[in-house]
Amino acid sequence: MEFFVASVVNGLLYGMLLFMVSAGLTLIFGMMGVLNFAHASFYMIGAYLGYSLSAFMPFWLTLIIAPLLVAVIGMLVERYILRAVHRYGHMHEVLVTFGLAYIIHELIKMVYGNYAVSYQTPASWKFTAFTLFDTTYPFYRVMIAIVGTLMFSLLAILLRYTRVGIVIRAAIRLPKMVEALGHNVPMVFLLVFGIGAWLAGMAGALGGIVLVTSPNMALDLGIIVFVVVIVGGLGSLEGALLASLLIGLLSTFTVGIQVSVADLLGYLGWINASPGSGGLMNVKLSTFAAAVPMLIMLVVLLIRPAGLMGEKQ
Amino acid sequence: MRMNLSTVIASLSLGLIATTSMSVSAEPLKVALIEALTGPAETVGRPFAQSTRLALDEINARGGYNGEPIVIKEYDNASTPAGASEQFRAAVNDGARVIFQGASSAIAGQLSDEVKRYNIRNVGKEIIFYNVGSEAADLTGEKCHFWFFRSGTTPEMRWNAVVPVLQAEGVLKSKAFLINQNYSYGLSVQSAQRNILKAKNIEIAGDVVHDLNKVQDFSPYVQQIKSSGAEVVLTGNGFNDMVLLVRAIRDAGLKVSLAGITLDVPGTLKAAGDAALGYYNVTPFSLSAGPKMDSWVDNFQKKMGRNPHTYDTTAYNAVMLLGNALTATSVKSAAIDTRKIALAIESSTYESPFGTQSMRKEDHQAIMPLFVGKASKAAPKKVDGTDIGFEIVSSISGAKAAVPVDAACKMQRPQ
Repeated sequence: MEFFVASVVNGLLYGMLLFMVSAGLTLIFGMMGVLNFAHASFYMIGAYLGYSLSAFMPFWLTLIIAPLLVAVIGMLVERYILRAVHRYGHMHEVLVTFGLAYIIHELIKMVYGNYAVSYQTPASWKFTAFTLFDTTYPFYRVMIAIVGTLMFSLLAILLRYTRVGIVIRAAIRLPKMVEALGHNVPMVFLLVFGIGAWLAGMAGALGGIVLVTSPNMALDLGIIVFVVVIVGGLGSLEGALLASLLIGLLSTFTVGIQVSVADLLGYLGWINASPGSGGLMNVKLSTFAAAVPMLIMLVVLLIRPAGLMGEKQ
Repeated sequence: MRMNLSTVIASLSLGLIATTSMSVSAEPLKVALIEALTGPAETVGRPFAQSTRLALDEINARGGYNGEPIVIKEYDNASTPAGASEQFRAAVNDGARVIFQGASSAIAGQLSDEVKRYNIRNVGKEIIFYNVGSEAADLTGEKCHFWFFRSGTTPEMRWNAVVPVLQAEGVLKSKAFLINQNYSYGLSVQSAQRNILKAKNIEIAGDVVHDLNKVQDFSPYVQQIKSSGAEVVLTGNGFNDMVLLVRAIRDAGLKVSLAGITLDVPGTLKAAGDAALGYYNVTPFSLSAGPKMDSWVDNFQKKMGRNPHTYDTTAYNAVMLLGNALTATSVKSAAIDTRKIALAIESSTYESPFGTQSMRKEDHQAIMPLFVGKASKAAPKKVDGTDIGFEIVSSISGAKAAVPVDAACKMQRPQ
């Protein structure tokens, strides 16, 4: 019972963290169709800006300013780099953003050094939110889940129920038509990209504390955010949320299950493999925890190529 | 006998070359640092390369080798065995006779094989591979050969040293939890931990391996540690895998001790903060080893502009041990003979600020003292820009820290 409850809580908290990091990419890659490999780099910039700014201003102010700065950087990238190559297709976008990710990586190393920096929870935010079976859950991690939920609601309302949202969705689906109706489509794209970068910056400024703020943080999360967006379905915010929670829960449960194929067959009375003798049959399921997201992606792509909540193209 | 003009010129010029090379002083000893200067292992490779160079510069300052300064060249293996293999060929073409490397056991394994093959085909022009810090056990076990030297420690040495100390401290009574990274080095650590715990009659309450640098959330592992009822967590984890583990234990409010070997690596204490207080760290050096160490640290800071840490002291001491072997065999204007150098390394010693370092003849594994430290705010020397340092709980002499030669090592010595 304790194992089950603790795994559910841990899985949900981790899932919300994943959602927060990938929400921005859902907008940029999922909706706009811009293959932005530098998205995780925006997340890294958010974390480092948060670290630098929190040294001389209150933490709540840091959480407002750092993501805004990242949004500005994102909009500059869209306006002066991506827009120039957008018409040549995906290949050019991939190459440009790939190069950009490398440059950001090197710049961060030049400014902050090779090793992790000390980005810590501010003292006044350090308290226990709740206790379950003698295990404490810090307020900070719970707050990330709350912020993630807020982000989701805000985006869903913006896209679904506001006039701006309608224009954005229309501009992404039929840009020529929306332009003919008198809307400034490049401006809409700039705005959406800015919001995407803002979300990544927010995830960095908050998540950099829970994870580690080091020059490798973009690399560490670079793949998993793409997995979330693809499993969720391109362009689907609800799908991204669902995929994040699914990956969070399944990863957490796999880690906790110390069972191998040999154990299972032994339980059924088929074979009597002695544990510790090595071999493929004795490899524990928990060893594969890091491969779980990839496995989910494979299964989803085979069964539902458009993703969990994606529309058929 | 007929002789045409070109043969005469050719033989004359040959003679000329021979005499000029005789009159000019001997060839310098060329060494190659084939290190991870870019890529994921850069954080380990850079300090190794910098401190290897620092020590070589000092050897040059006291006269170099055979009356010539040692020529040092750096090669970037880009953190991959394939890159190392490519750079090895470049180093051979440049005339390198000694190779230094330390970051990543996988790369060390590759280079060790390359050197072994090259030396079989090029008798008389052998290359020495002087490893300054790769810890996987098989390098001096199954893979051992005459031209390979490991001047760092092995997982067995470190864990054999720390477990009795944990028992003596009263921290470890009956149950331990093992968590390690799932690759060659992490598995070496796991087997070293299992062996010593078995010998000391301590129950292994949990034993997990996880992917290297892939886990973002360690709370499920902490949940397992909790339900296992272990008193101490033993881990060979480093960098992110260490920081995230330490933080997850703190966040869960779990009262458990931990022993590791990377708590003093830059960025770790900084990122883990107070969560690491009271944890144990076993290293082949200690900043609090006494006045000799203080002056060494001062000298290091002056030259490098930063504080030394584990990788720096390991590489520096390693190269100084080799330096003493070079000094012992140095003959002005003589030709380079790596066989002579290799034999001299086997009987070389170096007095470091921590005690005597030496090289064991049987498997070319270095013997050195070890220190078990405890993270504390009361420690005199702080680490990593924090207010935390490592108090020495126990110092173990080289002879006591040594473990028996691996039976798998069948070294073929040159005739």
